[in-house]
Amino acid sequence: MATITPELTKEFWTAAKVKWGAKQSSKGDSAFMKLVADFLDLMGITNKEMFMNHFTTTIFDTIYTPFEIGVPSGGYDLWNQISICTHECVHVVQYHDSPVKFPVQYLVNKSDRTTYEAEAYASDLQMHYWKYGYGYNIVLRAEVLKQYGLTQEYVDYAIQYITVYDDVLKQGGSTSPVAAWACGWLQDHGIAGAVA
Amino acid sequence: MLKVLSLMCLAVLCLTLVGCPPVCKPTMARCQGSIVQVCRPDKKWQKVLDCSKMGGGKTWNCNCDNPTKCGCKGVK
Repeated sequence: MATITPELTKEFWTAAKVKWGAKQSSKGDSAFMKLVADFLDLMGITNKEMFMNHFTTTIFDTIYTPFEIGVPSGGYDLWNQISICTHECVHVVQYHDSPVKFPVQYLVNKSDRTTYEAEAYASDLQMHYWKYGYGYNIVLRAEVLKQYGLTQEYVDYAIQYITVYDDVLKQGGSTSPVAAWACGWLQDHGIAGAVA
Repeated sequence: MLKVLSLMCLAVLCLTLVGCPPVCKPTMARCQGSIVQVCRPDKKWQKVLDCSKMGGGKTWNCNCDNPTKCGCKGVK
């Protein structure tokens, strides 16, 4: 079985962009992203430094990465680069499904923002099951939402939401079309997961 | 007036037949056919999953263990 290489990671991103209608750009090079960072900081949604250096962000159909694809850095090893690509492709699908509603509601409605993120976290969960054979700590993952300007009641809602997915994954079901595609692509390219 | 009375009668009839619809309070969950819904912090029901689309070679149904715990149960 093959291992995840920088080339394979780049190939995965290219295939994912084609499959889900996404674009990709480097966050550090983007003046637009710096403006967005200021805006989100001002809105109290997320801290500027965290946003620029640690978060991968999707605006409309473009994924802005704080790393160079295929080069492990800053907490993004090659698996994490594949996993975050899948996570952000869920947001691209959400955008394509509702090009006006998604960006507006994400910004103005905290319950919607939580729902959009929880759906993407649930996709990460399916990837995690495929790779390791077990899920991640849902409570810890949902706590990350506090960096998105969300309070405990929204974290609790996200935990409840993701747990519904977790129950299905534990029973061998498939919950996320994006994660199912990603796991299939990796398997087709010789990468072994814990779940066949 | 007649219209209001008719609507009230209809509402009473519906409640008699199907019971009171569950009020949406955060942490609550419910099944709507094959769809799992949970109550959001803004007190709106949110679709989480449609159990009929879970695959994995099983038949899936929405099932509630209690008012805060609903999910998809798969049967081979």
